[in-house]
Amino acid sequence: MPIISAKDVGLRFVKSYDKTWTARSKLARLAGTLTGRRQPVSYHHVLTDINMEVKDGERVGVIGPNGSGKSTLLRVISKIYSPNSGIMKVEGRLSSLLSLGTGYNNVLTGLENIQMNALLHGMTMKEIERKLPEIIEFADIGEHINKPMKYYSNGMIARLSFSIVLSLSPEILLIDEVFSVGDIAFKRKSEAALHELLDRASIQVIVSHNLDLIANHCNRAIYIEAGRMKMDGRPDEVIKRYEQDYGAAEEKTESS
Amino acid sequence: MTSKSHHTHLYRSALGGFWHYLNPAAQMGIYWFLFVVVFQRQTPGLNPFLIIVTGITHYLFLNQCAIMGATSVSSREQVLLQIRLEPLLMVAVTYFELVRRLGFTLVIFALYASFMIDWTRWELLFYPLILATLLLAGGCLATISGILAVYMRDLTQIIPLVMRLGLYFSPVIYPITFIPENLVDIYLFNPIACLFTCLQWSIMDVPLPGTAHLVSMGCCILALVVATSWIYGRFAPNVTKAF
Repeated sequence: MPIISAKDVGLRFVKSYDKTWTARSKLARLAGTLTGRRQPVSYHHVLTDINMEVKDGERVGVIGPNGSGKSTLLRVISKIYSPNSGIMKVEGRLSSLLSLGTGYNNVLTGLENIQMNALLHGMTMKEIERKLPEIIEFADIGEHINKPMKYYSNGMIARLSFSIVLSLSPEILLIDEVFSVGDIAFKRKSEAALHELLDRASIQVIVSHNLDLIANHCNRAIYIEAGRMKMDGRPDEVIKRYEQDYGAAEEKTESS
Repeated sequence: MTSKSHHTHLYRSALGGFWHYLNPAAQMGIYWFLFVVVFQRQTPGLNPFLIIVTGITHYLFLNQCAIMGATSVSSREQVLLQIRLEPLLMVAVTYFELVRRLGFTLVIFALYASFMIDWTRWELLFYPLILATLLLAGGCLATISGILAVYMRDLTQIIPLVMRLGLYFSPVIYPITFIPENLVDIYLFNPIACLFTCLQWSIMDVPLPGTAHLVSMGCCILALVVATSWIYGRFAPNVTKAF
């Protein structure tokens, strides 16, 4: 049974100027050691003490202000980042849709890019071959499918990306703000297909600023602020708390 | 992925895949001109051009593994930050593209060498073993440089220099007999020198390095494999945090 379990998960990044081993930073460090004035490495704590357990059938919406660590949390769940402290356990076939259009090569045709991208998302060549007609049909970009991707408009790239994403069959689905793409006709078509995709996954974790979507679609919500979990509960309650915090802040800014 | 990456590198180039032959061929021509025509270095009993062709064909693979391996992970930062993938997969894409190129050049090499080599030599039976060692070393170099270059950006500048030094300090474009006799023993403790002397031994009449040198080379290759495994295990899990 698919499950996501986080116990005291913490993640920190070494600040960019301490990140790589440059001769200058090494010399400065050596000089600091010799003179006894060595500066400790500075860290940016992105997530602190995250505790959660997501079980089969849960649709979790993650909300919070910009820079609070929502997308990073998805990256930790999908094991792109390994946590510095705590334990993150994920069981089940996972797909993460953190951005559309990742891993495309402008020189390759749309068809070749579909194959590359589907491989990156963990599909086998047999699966790709089976789903290719479906992906091409859904993207609906006609003869452009055999042209190099550099001739594509942004909308066409998004349509293609979305079609690949919709052909996945994950048990755990992580989505980060990739909901509506393309023109109105495609938006309608993609929304219906997205709901079908969401229904196929037994666990969903959705990061969005669209509070209506979280309220209507999710059965649980998590509110993150400055890398810490501020509230975990029913979507309506969590959204209310978030709106109280940030609605008040907005009102204050407007009145000043 | 390897095939697509290969296609991308050659996109819109007038000569396409032919560059994989032209580049080594140009290098072989330059070294032959310098060593044979200008400096008139004699290689008694050996074909100087065969030495250069053998050396360049194989050394270029090691060289490219280290150089192209160094950018194999860092150049795919965007993908690794969006989809959970083992960095080793990124190294493997580059590595197999290079193996493919090596395959092309080896076919040309075999065609050329077929007129120069005595195919009844029993030493030729060892060539697959030497080639396998070269492939293993190339894979290790690509992995180490690929992972470490994310943390130490200077590596992308240092590696070409080190590999160039390796070319001149190993019998790649000259036979071991060029080295003063009193230095040969020390010289062959360089694992690349020992490997390329073995390569020359399997193809032409060059003496095989001594047991101590062969054991030393074996230990170095083993150490390289262990180091690759350790470096990968130690640094790869946090590679995305270092971007």
